[in-house]
Amino acid sequence: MAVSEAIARRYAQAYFDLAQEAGAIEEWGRELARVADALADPDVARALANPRLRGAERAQLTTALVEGMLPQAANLVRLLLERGRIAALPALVAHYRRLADRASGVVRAEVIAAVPVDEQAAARLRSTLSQKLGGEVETTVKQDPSILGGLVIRIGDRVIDGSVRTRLQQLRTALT
Amino acid sequence: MAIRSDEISEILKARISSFEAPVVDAQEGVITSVSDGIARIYGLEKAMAGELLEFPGGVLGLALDLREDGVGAAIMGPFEHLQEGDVVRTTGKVAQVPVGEALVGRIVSAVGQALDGKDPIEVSESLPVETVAPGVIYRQRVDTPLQTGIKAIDAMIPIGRGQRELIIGDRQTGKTAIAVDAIINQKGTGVICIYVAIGQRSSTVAQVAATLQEHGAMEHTIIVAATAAEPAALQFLAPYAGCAMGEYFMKQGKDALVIYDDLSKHAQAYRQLSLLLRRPPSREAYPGDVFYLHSRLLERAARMSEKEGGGSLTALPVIETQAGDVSAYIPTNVISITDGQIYLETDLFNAGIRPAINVGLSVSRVGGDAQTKAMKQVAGMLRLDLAQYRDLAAFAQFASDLDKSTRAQLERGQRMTELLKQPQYAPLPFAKQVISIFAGTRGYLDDIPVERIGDFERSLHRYMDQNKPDVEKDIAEKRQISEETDKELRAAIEDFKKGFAG
Repeated sequence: MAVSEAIARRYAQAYFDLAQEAGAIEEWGRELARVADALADPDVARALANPRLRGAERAQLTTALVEGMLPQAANLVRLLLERGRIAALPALVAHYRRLADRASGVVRAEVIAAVPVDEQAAARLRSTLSQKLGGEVETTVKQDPSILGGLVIRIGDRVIDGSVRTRLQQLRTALT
Repeated sequence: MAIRSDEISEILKARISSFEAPVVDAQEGVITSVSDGIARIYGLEKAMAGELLEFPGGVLGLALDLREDGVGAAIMGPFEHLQEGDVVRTTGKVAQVPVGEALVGRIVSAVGQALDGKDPIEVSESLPVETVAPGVIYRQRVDTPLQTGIKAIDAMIPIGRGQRELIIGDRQTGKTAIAVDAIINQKGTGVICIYVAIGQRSSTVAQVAATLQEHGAMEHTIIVAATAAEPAALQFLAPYAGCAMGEYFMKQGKDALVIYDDLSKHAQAYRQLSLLLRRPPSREAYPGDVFYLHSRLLERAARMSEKEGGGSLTALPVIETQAGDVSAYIPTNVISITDGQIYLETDLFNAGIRPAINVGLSVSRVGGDAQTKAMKQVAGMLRLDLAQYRDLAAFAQFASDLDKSTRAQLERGQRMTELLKQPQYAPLPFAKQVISIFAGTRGYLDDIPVERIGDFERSLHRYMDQNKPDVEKDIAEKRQISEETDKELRAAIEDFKKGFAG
């Protein structure tokens, strides 16, 4: 798992650099997502992974798959298949999205609340986060009653935990 | 119990209402694998090297391996409850340990938790466990003696404050005994002692603690214990934690003594961590940086310049050899780092020479600079004399066939060796040591049978205490033997000998 993560990053970085040069980050990103979806199909994945597939047949299958794709995306898929790294594709897509976000200054935040959050509160949250973190913030709001109250905000690896559950845990540590 | 139940709830209410819970702002990662005390965590991009990580269940870990896509952490506590998928948070703190006066007299773990069953330790300050050793500019020469109370050491292998002196020998040769005697002898000197037990049996540590308690030495000692049952990460951290505690006192201009017992087990714990983290093994399966492991620890022992407070941290690392092999990997490493070694031999120990110090192979590179003038006056030639004695010792069996001067040398050597024997837990104050060695090197023992030397010494001390206390006081205060004191001492010994049934 860890190995394919590092590899996915390398490929994603290369693909992203090319996309940046071409000035078509969004478009290539969408294309990549479509490719990933297509290959996520279990039958397709199994067929490609079959070691008994001979060179010529594999090439045929690949050509059929990449038909109608952007040439660079097609090349990427061919390269991955050739190198036997096709399993890294989902991680590749995720990392590409991270790179694209960083380039455009968009920050994706996941907000978890115990109770439903109304639109006004969500908008206020978005603007405060944009202020604090700098750049545009896109929020996905989720509901999780187990945090008991307050908010938990996740931005990448960073977590801002103002949940009642965590405060109670801290209180317990302080009292014992 | 005299406390009423509503008083307790009042206390609790007060604590709850005054409780400040800051919002947690940390980095999060997910455990991808955990085994043998090492956890691999995905995420944590911003983790710092050596940062403390918080695992579920309040267990802490140390971020040792920082990789592109994750972190390898050593878990400092029980890990059976951890699973793949558990969330790990950073604490923002690089490994640090509580320091301060409150630790003196206590037994603590490598992270500063109380292990002696008394109140939890409240300190106001924490110091990082790993720091850069003081540079050359901030140091001064080692010129003040650290008296261990052991005649053989203080006379021939003197240790100074700020020096690193290695105690090396096979198992059961008296390494810990020397360390304990040195600690007991620091009573009343203002030196704070820190005894770091790494990978030892808990029973041994308990025994050391009890011994120190018995001799009133716990009031100036901190015991840091990472016994054999503790996770390797804690055993790895313990010496650095003890060093940080000593540095606290050094920074205040005080003198501290830290004993690492022992660094062989420390290297083994580090080897365990490194191999589990998949770092490449080198000689004897130790990782490539095992030298740096000990050098950065021991370099932090120093004598600070007056501008920096004039404090000092003396280090006495202990290394256990296997079958006397000092040319193995770890012993040679540490020998090259320290400013000398005290070499203990099993043969000497079994022959009744205790402390079993091999004077020939032991050395203190600070040497005479760390001795008082008085000791230099009496023991200056002692090392050489004993070396010559050892050369001749093989001829001891032919004693009757030798010339007079050779025989005299043999007899003197035997008596000095006997004089340097010392029972455990009986460190001698410096002035008494001077008196004993004076009697030996000036020839007053030459006509006493070898087996009566121990009695002679004890009786001499008693005699001096009762009849001539000023002589000892004079030596202790002036730290040298003036001509007058010399004459008085000679007279006193001659007087005593008249009454001694030889």
